[in-house]
Amino acid sequence: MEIFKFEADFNSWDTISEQINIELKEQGVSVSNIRKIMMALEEHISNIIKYNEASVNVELTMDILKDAAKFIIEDNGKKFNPEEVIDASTDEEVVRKRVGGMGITMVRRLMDETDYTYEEKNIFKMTKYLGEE
Amino acid sequence: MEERFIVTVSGDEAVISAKGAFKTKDAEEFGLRLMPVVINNKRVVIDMTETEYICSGVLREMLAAQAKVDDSDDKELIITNVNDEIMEVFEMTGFINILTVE
Repeated sequence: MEIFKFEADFNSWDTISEQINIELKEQGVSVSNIRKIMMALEEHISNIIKYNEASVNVELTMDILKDAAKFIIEDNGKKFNPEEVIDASTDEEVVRKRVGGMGITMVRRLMDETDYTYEEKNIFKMTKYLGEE
Repeated sequence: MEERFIVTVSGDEAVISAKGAFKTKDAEEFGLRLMPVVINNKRVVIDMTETEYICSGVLREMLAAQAKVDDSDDKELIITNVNDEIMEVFEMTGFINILTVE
């Protein structure tokens, strides 16, 4: 298990995401799963950065097991439950209008399990099963 | 980003080789680089052979470029050699119905 603590800004996240990418490769996670995990993490962390004005701290715990990669992302930003956001519409007209929610949809579809709780901070868990593809 | 967004022009066609991972921090610059290519060329191909993954911000920039193409009578924007994971994202977001992906 690894824990990454960083300030929620794009430069810090860039550094951390590279470390996560390397660790996933070293742990033998497939290229396909790495891409999905990295895209999901990118969307979630980006939302934390974009939707909070003041300095926010993030603690990301990564646990790579034999059959699953588990992530817990805690932040002390504004209370926000992504599970309350409905999937972005794929209707062409709606997509063209660039209505929000696309990133949350991506997280939900790319990962196999997601869970949100609030305990004085946002706690978002996401799991990717690493079985046969 | 210059080394990851390589534009090759031949006649009225431009091919953009997009390399690596395009994260949220890259999205604005991706759009600033893409739009002039679309404006100045009749046919634009974004070759994603070496693209690892993209973010929703980049999708939005592609959408803006597609809107520019749709506003014209003779422009094309084509995305090629997309990996399975990016294709999955195009499908789950509905972008597959808007962009031309080959």
